[in-house]
Amino acid sequence: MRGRPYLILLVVAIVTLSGLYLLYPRREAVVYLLYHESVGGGGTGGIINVNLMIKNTGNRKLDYAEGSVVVSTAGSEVARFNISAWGVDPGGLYEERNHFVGDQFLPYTIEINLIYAIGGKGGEVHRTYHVDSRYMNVLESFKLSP
Amino acid sequence: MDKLSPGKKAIITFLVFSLVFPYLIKESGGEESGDLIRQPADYNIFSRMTSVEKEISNRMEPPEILNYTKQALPSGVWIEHPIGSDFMQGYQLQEQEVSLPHLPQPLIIGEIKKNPRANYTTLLDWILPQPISEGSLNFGVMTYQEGHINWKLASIIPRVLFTDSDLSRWVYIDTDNSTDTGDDLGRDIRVRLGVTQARVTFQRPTIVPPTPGSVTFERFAISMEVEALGNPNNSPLQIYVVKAISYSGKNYLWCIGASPDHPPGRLVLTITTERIVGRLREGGFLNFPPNIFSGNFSFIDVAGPYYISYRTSEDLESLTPSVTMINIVERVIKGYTHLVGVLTPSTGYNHIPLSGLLTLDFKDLTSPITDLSWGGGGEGELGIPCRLDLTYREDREDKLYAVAKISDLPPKLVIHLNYHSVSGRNVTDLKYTSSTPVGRVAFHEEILPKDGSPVVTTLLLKELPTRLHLSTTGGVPFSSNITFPMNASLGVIGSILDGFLGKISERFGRIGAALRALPRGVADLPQNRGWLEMDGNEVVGEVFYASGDVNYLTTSSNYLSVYQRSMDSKATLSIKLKGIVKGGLNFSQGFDVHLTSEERDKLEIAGIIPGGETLMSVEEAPRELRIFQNEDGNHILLHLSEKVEEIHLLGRRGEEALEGIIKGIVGEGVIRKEEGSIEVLFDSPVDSFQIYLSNSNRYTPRFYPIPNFINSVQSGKEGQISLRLQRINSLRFIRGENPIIELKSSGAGDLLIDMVEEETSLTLKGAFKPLPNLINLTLPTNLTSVELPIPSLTTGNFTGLAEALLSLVDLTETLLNLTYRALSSMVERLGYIGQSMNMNWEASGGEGSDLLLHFQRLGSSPFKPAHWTHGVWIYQSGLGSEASLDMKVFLRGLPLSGSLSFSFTEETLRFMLSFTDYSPEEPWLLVRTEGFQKRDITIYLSDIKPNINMEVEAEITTNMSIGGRIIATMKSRVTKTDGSPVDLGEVLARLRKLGEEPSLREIFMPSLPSNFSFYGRMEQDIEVEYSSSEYLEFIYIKLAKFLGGRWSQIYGIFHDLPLSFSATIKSNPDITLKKPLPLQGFPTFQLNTTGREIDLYINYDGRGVGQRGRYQLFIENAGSTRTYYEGNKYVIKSSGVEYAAMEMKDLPYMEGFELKSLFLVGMGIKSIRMDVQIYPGGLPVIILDRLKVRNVKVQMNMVINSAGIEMNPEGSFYVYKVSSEGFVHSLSLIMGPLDLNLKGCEKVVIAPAPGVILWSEILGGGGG
Repeated sequence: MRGRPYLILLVVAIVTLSGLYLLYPRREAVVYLLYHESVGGGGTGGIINVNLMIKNTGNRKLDYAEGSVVVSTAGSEVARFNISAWGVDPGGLYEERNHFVGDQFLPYTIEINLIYAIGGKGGEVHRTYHVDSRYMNVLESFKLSP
Repeated sequence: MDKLSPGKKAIITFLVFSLVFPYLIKESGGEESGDLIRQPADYNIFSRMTSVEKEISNRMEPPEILNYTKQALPSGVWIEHPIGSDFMQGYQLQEQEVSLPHLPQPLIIGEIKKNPRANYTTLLDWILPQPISEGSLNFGVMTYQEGHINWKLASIIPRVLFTDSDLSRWVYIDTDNSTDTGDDLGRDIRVRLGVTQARVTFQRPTIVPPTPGSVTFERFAISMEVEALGNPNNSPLQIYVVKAISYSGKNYLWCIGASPDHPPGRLVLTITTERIVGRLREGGFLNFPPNIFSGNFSFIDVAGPYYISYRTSEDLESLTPSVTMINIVERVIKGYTHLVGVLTPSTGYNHIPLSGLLTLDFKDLTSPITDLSWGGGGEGELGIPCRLDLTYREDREDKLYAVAKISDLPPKLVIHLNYHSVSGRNVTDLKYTSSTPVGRVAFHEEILPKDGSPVVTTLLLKELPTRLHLSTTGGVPFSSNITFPMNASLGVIGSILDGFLGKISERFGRIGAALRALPRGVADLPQNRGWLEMDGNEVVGEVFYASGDVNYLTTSSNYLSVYQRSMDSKATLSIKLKGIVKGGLNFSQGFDVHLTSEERDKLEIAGIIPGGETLMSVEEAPRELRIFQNEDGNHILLHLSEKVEEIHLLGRRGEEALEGIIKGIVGEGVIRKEEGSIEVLFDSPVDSFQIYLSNSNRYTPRFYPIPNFINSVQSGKEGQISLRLQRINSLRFIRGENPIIELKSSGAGDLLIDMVEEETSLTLKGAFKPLPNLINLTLPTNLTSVELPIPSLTTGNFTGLAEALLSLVDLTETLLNLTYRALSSMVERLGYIGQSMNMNWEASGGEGSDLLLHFQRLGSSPFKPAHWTHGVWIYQSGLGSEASLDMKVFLRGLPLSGSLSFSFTEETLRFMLSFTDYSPEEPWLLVRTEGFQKRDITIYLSDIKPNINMEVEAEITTNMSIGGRIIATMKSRVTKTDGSPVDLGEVLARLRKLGEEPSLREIFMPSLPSNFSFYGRMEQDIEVEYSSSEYLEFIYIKLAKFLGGRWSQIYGIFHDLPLSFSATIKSNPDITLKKPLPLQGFPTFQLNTTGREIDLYINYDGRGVGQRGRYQLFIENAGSTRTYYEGNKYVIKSSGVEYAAMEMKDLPYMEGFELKSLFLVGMGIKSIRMDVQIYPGGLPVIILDRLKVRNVKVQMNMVINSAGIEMNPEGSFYVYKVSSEGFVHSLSLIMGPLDLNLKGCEKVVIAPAPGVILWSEILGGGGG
């Protein structure tokens, strides 16, 4: 019986911490960037996909994420697409797909510019990735946390 | 940045997975592994290509072709063809007679000037001193005989006071001032002037309608009577009656003369008018009688016809009637008009007609003369002819002298004149009828302007027929003064006489106006858009006409010549034509000259004008000839009723010289110029058409002893052009971006082309043996702004005709300019993209033509000679003005009709060939270019059968840059001439693009089926459509690109082709992160075949088109097959693929994981559905279901790099099979290549066994 209070206290603590975890506002999302070169096909050029996916990993709604993804090589822009995600619930996904016909052997630079707001708090992010020309698939990710 | 490390996670996951299922079951290899991996067959294609290449190398300059080219393109066979400078030697410059400055003034003029009474200018002053009235009825008489002048004053009414006449109105004159002759008093003749009328009627004035009264004289006549008295002096005598008149406020003296060879017993000269109506002035009834008696007329109406007649009582050897009108201003003679007719006997006669009657008919005072008739009375009713010399002389500000000599004036002659208006032009129609032909009419006229040089006109007509019709706008428009103010003081007779003579004076004055306008009447026809048409039912023996300056150009033959001494002098038009039936000069709708002659004779058109001379000579001109040019000047027609042996044209201007020879031309020839085109058409083929042009003494035209030749030698715009074409039907030139030359002929024979441009070092030699009946050639250059001139006959005056002929000399400049621009433009564009060439031809029966062409340009770039072959061989280096080029075309046995068309643009090459009834001398055809248009091209076609019809159409668009496109279309149809199908031999086509990124396209076929169609497109997707009338063994297609120091290539072999198939490979860019990636993004494939199954081999280096990996696909006996996605699953469905092998290499899938090679082999494939699922930790599990496949083998060589450790496992897999028959399940571990017998399997699950892989790697057993 002597140990029971500790056990109760432990249970209370777990319940409290769990409650706090659930109730404490976590405003976070993860951005995934996919650079993908298709195998075969594409005729006189390689098909290259550049997808951007946002996963709301927090417990507050992603109010919006607006911006653009620009793909360029040797200083020349080869593709551009806009990001416009609105009202993504916790656990929800938003994906923007884009592709272009290009030389799969070239090094590409991908710029991501986003402004966003999660649970009423906003922020912005600017990222630049240099895709290594040696690989066909590159998956990058980063967090959004205002 | 947080990085997912798939390689590391994959290794960890594989290790965990290997702990669960270590070494459960081991299965290795497959039942058919020995048969499963086959070496891809090349079907001996490459060795066959090698032998074709060897065959092509033997096609360079075969001896028989070399020998033929030497014979067909001979060197140095020409001889010089100089254009003579003495071609006008047959012409003489002659002078028209100018006699006016030396002519004495007429006797009567001189005598009147001497007579002081002539200085009194008012009518009454001259006749009688005032206040005696009726003086207007007086007149003077002057005679001249043997140097004696006598003046007498007489009256037309009986009067003795103040006159020399008696009461019978006679005035007696001693003409020789000798009492030995004449009557008792020595008087030789008596003369009187009388006025007679048949009837006089009075019309009283009326109140309603209000009309003033009038008086009418029917057949009002003035007669001059002369009678010899006693024994007169019989020497020639001149008698003049001088009468003063006044009208329109001007004073004139009228002199009527009659000069017989001797004083006749009686001579009467009469001028009669049909009717004269004098309207009285206003005044009503009361004033009627006074008006009548005072001659108070307001208006005189004279109604025709006029009758001018003479009558003698005895035969005269000559009679010279004359009319003179002297203009007096301020009591001074200001000018005169003098008309003299000399009547002399015709040959065979010793006297003139006893009487003569000239009738001039007109409707009324306001109308011109409509009829003129002459009747010479004498022996019998028919009358007799006589000679008439008519002289007209006018001395005013300008002097005019005209002589008309008619021999002989027929007894009866009628001229009917009709005046009307056509399109605003006054037209005179003249119909001439005579009782006998007139042997000769000579007309000569001199006009001496106050300032300037004389204008001289000579017209000679020989053998004028009895009927002639002339229509012209060249006449002087008729105008009349209908208000005729009268001198009331003259009384009735005086007023009427005054008005009558005034009217005659007015008409008389028109003779001068008409004569004065005569030279201009013809010369200005072109300018006034007028015409002169002559239509005779009979032949006019000869027409000679010269008008203009004194000098004219003449020769012995029929001709039309123009001579102009200098720019400031007048031009002289001279025409001589013999035996003319019909002719016309009509400029109303351009230029229209036509001539109908009795017999064929030589006709020339010649001109010497400032700057040059020209001569066009027609030997044996046809009986009917017409030259027409429309108003716009863009259409010239030449009509020849009979075949002309030769038309020879020569022209020279400075160093420019032209010679044109047309032989054997008949029917119609047309030169037509339209917007951007010019064409020459002939009704029937012209035997020979030759042109020799030179604009420099340095260059002499050439003549080649070959039926047809085109030659030019030039340095810039200086040079010569020589051309002879035979049996020509038409020639057409269409300028524009792609100028076209079209030539139609009929059995012309061989053609040789020899052109040299020294400035740009260009030579072009070519031959058609023989020239096809139709050649339509699109020139590969831009001549949009080149204007080919067409001679303009419609401008200016007749000098323009010579200028137009001489303007043909401009053709030298134009053609040299044209060839220079064409050639220099060609040079400028050499090597640049964007050119095309079309050629069509057609020949009539017999054998086809041979075509040889050698085009050479020596620029500063390296030169290499092209080879003679049966086909085309081009070598080119450098661009534009630096370019060097050698092109040789040899096509022996061209079909009877055909067309060839090439078109080059930056990306696209189009080729079209259509041959009808083709039997080439050589059974093969080779087209090879090196460096041309930055491309190397080889097209080789073998085993060409004789007597075939062949149509080939191909278009290749190639842009092998990333994102570009490659499209190839080829259609062919080959049949025997009877329509039965026929296959031709091997076809090899290769296109190599040069430049910074060289690339290559190649097609090889073992035969060209009778009916063949291929379409291939490669852009983001790939699409192929094929159909053929025969089963084709194979098609080999290759695309390659030179990158990074090596060739990256794609080539495919379609083997055992069905009658038709279509294939598509569609890219699939729909990738999502929400699903496992491995199976995403694969292209889908669809193959449809009919007839039989196909073998396919594709070797594909993705680098050439910017794609990862190297692929090799080998399929045998494939029926219709397709692949598609079902969700994330990839499905293969087929009617049956006997064998399929695919090898992929060099796929760096992701960091830490590189697929060095993956070899997939399947047999008996009908259905497979593939799925890949990624289990936690990134473990890929492959699920194959809906299996209808006999065997599958997978061989993978991968590199896993983790934490700096590189592993190269061969691969070990857990395989879980589910049978479709008895629910049999099995699990096995396969080491090494995945070789599965899937017969009877419905599903299989394959998962990598990473622990085994790692263990195997550690033991060193992996790799491979």
